[in-house]
Amino acid sequence: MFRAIVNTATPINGAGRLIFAQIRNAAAQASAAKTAAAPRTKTVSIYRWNPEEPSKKPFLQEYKIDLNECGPMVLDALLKIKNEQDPTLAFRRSCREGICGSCSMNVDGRNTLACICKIDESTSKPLKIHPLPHMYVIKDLVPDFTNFYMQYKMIEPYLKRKTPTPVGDKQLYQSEEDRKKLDGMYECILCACCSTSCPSYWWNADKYLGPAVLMQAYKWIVDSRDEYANERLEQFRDAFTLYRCHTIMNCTEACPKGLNPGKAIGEMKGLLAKTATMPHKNSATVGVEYK
Amino acid sequence: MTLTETRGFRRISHTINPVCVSSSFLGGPSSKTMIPMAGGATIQPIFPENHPQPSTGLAALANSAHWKIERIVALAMLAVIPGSFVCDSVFMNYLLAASLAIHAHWGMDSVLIDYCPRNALPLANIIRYVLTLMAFVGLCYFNYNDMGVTKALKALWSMY
Repeated sequence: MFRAIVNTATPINGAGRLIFAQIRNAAAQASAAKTAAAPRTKTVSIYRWNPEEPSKKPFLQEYKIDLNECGPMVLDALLKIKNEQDPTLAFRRSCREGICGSCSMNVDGRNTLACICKIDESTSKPLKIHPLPHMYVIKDLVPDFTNFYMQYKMIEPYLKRKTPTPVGDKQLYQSEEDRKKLDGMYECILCACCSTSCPSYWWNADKYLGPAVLMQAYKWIVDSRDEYANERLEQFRDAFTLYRCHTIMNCTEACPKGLNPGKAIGEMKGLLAKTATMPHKNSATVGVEYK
Repeated sequence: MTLTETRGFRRISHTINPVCVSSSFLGGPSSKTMIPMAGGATIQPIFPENHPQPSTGLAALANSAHWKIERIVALAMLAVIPGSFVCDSVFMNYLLAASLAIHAHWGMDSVLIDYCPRNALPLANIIRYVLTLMAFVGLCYFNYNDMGVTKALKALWSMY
């Protein structure tokens, strides 16, 4: 609230400013002390590329922001720059609380969600923001997700049943234990931070599915309501879709939601090599009426 | 070829591949995927034909079985390498030679797939097979005609 007052106060004439100053002194002494502090100027260095100037090479553009007048997260800094300094800056954002996965980008060399990544408060180093590595860039920080979504489509990310199941008639019940198997996987928001941090995905993105998609594939394999687990598993037997994973574990390191795609891929390899058994599905509680 | 094109975009007239235009996922080139350019041109992201054939039969089994054998060999080497030093025998020398050669062979396979340009891959693979063969035959020759791999390593160690 106080931030809003400061921002609007600047263009107002002397008298208005005086009133604001009085309010400031009376109501928010602690905050006033904060503004009195020296501005903490942070340099933000952002990757820029404009498709309308295709002959111009991508470059890093530097902006200066005062951290005292900016929210704590990287997305706040980006929004501040776009609002106040450069409206041509392009980036995706939506929920600003790490649940939509739109603002995934490379901040200070790490793939993360800008909205839940805190700005490094030391003003000596610039904040470097790049688009997700090894993705085709549409503009500035906006990468082309087409290939990623096509791959997600390929694993058929929806419930498939062998027993006739009238749609919208009754619920498919699931036991608590079966539901628990999906924990740590259903939270994935497909921000692609993991896939784009994976060297194997960098080199073979056209053939290797990448950790994000593979974890979702495993989610459908262990889902007790889905009856195509073995068929789903069989499609990963070729050399590329799954076996390009070399257990580098950058995916788990990068995931801004703290999930573990590396483990899911490992489980899939185990299932395919028959060193692991398919987790038991408590089918008695699944769609009783349809069995 | 302009920079735009090298970065994965093609002019809409160049998208001859039916996969690019008739993707059911995108419903064909739409206003959402087309990017207008200066000068009235339009660019469209292209998508590689990305449908892995669900391979069946021997070739299908090979990859998951291959992965499993690779792990078994890697684990076995944990025992074979110190084991050959402990009980230095002719058999252990040949086992060490074989496991070293095949382990390096499979390791290079992954390295080449990741880092070798796709069109140079067949040639690189031929070189890989030749090198593996040379390494294995060379180690066997050394085992047969000379002191053997383990003794050689021990001699190398005792130089200091």
